[in-house]
Parts: sequence; C-alpha cells; structure tokens
Amino acid sequence: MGTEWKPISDAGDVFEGRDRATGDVKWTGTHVDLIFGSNSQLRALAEVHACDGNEAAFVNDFVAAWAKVMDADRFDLA
Amino acid sequence: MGEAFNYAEAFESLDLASVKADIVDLMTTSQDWWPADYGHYGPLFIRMAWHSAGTYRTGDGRGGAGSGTQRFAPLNSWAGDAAHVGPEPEGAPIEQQGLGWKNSFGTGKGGDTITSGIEGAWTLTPTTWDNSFFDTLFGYEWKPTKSPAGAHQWAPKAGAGSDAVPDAHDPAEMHAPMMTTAGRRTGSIPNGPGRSPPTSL
Repeated sequence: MGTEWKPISDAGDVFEGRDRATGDVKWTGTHVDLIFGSNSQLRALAEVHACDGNEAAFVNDFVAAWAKVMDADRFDLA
Repeated sequence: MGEAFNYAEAFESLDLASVKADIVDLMTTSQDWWPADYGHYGPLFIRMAWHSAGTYRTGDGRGGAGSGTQRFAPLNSWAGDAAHVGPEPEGAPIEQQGLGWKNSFGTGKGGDTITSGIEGAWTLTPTTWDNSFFDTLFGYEWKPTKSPAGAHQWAPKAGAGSDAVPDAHDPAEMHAPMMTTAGRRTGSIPNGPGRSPPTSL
C-alpha cells in the first residue's frame, strides 16, 4: 500500500510505482510483473516463496512447474 | 511449504514476545494512505477476524479463519453496491486489485471512507478492551434514527451524550454514541415499536 501503481503506456501494459508519501518513482514494471502482487492466489504463492529461507523451495517449485509445462505435450513420456 | 516443514516446530521457535511487540507496533502506527480510526488498527483487525471466521460453512467444513480464504476470490469481492465505489477487487484494473474497493469520494479514506452506511461508535473507548459497550447501552435511552448515509441505527434520546465519543480522526471533535439493531440485540433489549426483528447479527 505504500506504493501507488499507475499505467504509463497507451496500451496500459507498462506501469510505474510511486511512493505515496513522496511521489518519487520507486519501481517500474509490466502487467506481467504486477499480476503476482494483485491476483490474490498468485500473491499468496509469491509471499510464501519470497520468505527468508525459502530460496531453495522457490527453485524446486519453479523447476517442477517448468518441467511440467515443458513436458505437457510429451505424450511419449507418459 | 514443503513436506519437511513442521508448523508446530516452526511456531515453537518463535519469540512470541517480540512477535507481539511487532503486531502492537503495526496496529498503532497509523499510515497516511489508510488512517487508523482512533489511531489504532486493532478494532479493524477484530472486525476482519470476525468476518473471516464467518466464512466457515457448516455443511462441509470449508472456509473459516483457519485457512484465511477471505483473501481469495470470490470471497474477496463480496459486497453490495455503493456510489463512488469502484469495481470489486477481482474485476478492478490490475493496479487496483488486492487493495479493496477504490473510493472516489473526497480523499477516499479517513472521514471519507464508505462502508455499510452505519456510522458511529457504540463504546466511549473504541480502542480499549473494557465494558464500555454495556455502560453505553444501559446508560442511555435510545431512539431510532438514520445515519448520514440513511442507514437505520439508534441515537441517545434528547441529544444526550453528544460529547461522549471522540471522532475517529479528529480528537478535538466529539459525537454521541450510537447503537445498531444488532448491537441492541446483543444486549437483549427488545426491538423498538414498529421495527422488525433482525434476521442476523
């Protein structure tokens, strides 16, 4: 809540995040970045993986998800 | 968390005194972007906990406070319509999702906050855990009235107690206490003449 996000591109897919108190730009990002903070389910998953000490859990879960998507059309593996 | 994670073990490792100190600090540090009523977020937390527990469904045991499902769709977007209030969080533009309903009235916060339309405090000490609710309930005679937003509520008769409750955001301003029909029901006071009984709390 300390950061206010606003779209800055005509297509509405690029955003900047300003400090609500000072008005200074703190962050920039795309809608793909923002979805991890705004969608409630992705937010919950992102918070768990962002916890201190969960670096290995993030890598393991990311690798598992990546392999699952990449292998999704490999019917020969089933 | 992974399979190796032991919740009870992790909980035991916490320094509860410092966790508590962090929470107290959080609750009493009013933020400019959402000023705390009476300078304390505690009452807001309690209301949120009440609503979170209220998501429990007896039919199949789903919902409830244990899993905090009030964060997620569709529960996070359940509410009525109100003027000046933007789309529900799940239907809002991406930069507004997850932050509740955007309010275009005035500053959109503090004294300009839009909620149920019921307005006021039913205790003279809104941030203290005490019996002030019952002292207030039994200390005045009550009459039906309407909030500035037109919601049915109760006010002390004959303008009593008009300087009893501090304003939520301006300590120099005072108000009369109020009661809702749900609040009166808690105190086992019969409904006033011509008023239908509440169907729920």
